[in-house]
Amino acid sequence: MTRLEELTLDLADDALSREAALELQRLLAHEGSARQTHIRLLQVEAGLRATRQNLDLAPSIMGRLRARMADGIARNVMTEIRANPLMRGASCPPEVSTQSRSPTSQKRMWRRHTAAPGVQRDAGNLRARKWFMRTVQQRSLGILLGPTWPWWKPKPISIALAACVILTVGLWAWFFGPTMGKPILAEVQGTGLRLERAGQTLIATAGMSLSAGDVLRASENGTATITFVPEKTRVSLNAGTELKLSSLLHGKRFELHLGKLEASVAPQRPFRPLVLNTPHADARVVGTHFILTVATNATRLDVTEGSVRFTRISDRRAVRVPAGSYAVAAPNYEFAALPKTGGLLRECWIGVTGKTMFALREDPRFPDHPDKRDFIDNLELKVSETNQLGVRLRGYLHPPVTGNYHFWLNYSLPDSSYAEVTMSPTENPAEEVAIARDGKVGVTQAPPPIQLEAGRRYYIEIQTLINTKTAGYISLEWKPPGGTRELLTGEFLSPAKPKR
Amino acid sequence: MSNTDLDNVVVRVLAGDIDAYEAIVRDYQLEVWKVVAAMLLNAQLTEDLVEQTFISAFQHLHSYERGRDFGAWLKEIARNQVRQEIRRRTREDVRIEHYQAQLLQSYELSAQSSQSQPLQEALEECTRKLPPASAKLVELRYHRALNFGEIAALVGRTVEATRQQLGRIRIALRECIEKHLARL
Repeated sequence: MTRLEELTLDLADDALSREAALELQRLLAHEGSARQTHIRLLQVEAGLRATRQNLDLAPSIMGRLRARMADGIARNVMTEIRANPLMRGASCPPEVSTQSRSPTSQKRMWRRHTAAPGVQRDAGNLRARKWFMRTVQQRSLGILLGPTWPWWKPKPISIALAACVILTVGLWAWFFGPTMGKPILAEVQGTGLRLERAGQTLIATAGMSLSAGDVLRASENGTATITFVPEKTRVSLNAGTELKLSSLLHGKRFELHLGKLEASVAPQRPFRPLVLNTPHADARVVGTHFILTVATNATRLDVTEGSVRFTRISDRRAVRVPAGSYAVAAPNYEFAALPKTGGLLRECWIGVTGKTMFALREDPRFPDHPDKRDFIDNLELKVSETNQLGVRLRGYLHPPVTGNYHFWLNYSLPDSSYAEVTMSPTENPAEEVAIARDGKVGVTQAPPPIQLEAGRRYYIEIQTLINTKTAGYISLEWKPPGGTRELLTGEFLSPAKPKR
Repeated sequence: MSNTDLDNVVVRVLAGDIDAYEAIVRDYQLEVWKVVAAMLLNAQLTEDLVEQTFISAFQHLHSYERGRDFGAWLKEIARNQVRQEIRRRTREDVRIEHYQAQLLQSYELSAQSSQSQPLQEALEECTRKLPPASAKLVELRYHRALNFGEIAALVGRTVEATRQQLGRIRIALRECIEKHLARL
């Protein structure tokens, strides 16, 4: 893939940074055929988009139209008020009883009313506003609910009965209701966060109140956080996540359909835990910090603080997942609280002189004194314009099932760069052997399978020496028993402990 | 929807029956979406402009001459919406300066000329030749309009790996189209 193609695709995916846009501009200006390639690729994108088959914008469009109609009515009522300011005593002085006041205070009142016309105007405006709001409400509800609205005119006895009911419900809620405040969409970042409410799709914005039945959909570049002020519980949705607030009546209940959320849950009232249902499992939380990830065929729970009761739906088996552990509910996967995974330790040595893999191993700083240490999420390493950089990724592989595994090293770097993958038959690094190695651009041939056992961990390490002036990548793919070839992701990796 | 049915619906909407407009939206939304999607590169913005097109058409429904091609009338409104949006965004954002305008110009030129038909046919032909795994990704991304996160979750890969694979597919399609068009 050329740089021009890469940038054009970024533009097509709406992922072009400002700097990249300028680079694209330069490429298009300098290369004669570049513009043709660029336009053709965009035409392919447009042509593909025109093949869309499922689209239902009718609820959203009709919702917006109805809202506009209601808004139009409100404007008409406002015009009526402006045209007829005396309507319904809108400009009358305040209804203040002067019977019980002394003559002095009456004079004061009189002076206040006559000397300060603003007061009269404010009071009049207040009434006008109340009447205005009532009229708008009635007319809007008339549009939305039909011509029979209002269908019930309250009588004193009804009001008394309603007050009793409200008092009873209030007392019940006081003693038995949840402790939380109303859920609010406190933070929204990026674009593309949609809220589905009563069959309508709305663009979700920060500050919106949420209610039971609402479904939040975060697109690939949108994230959001829900809060329950005054309670300190926070639920943060990652990009590409779909969450439904199924109920708030007996504690907070959510359905996580797809994607990833991170929750920090304040202590909940007894018998009213926060419950998250996914297609594969239920997570029951009283107060903790955790991450829940849902894919098509699996749900993974990572607990950072406290503990979570995790129930697999298929057989209703439950495990308690403590802090620093995770559990996965999926077919053919051991259902247990396991030590937390999530990536590998990355160590970098800058300025490694030499052109072979031995150059890194013979560097006096290797292995205990790297220039930089951090963690990466998966076995995919992107490289850009780097010379003489040695990188070591190391940690443990946690196979989900027992059986034969295949590994492939994907490699897209110039000939002067090298990479090698080693794995140990145990968790002891001293027993490691090379399982994939390459010094050329391309992919290693299908290697012999390696027998691994679920529930055990195996030491894995990748060493690479990078000498490149162009961008490239190194990634490790695997094929678990009965699975498909895919990138080895952090769910099955845990970092090695760095030597200090 | 036949022309007579459409005219009846338009009369009902003009008489104040807002709900009747839903039938029009359902009938024409995909057609309008294709026009807007071909001229814009942002899925979210595309949906917003399609919605805006229907709202604008509703507001100007009295100016629609009965018996005319309603789809063509709607698509003209959609094109105007896109032109306005591109002008507005070009003023605000350097990233789309030139490129979006170029794309619009290219789209309008090809829509007016006879170029668009062979291109579309070549694209259909090349898409049919894709291996099943690639065809599946194209289906998820373009037929079902899922985002990269959703697709990655469905196929069990990372978002970045999914984007890269779809990038390679699009480049392969471009090369295939070039060869196809060269043979004509």
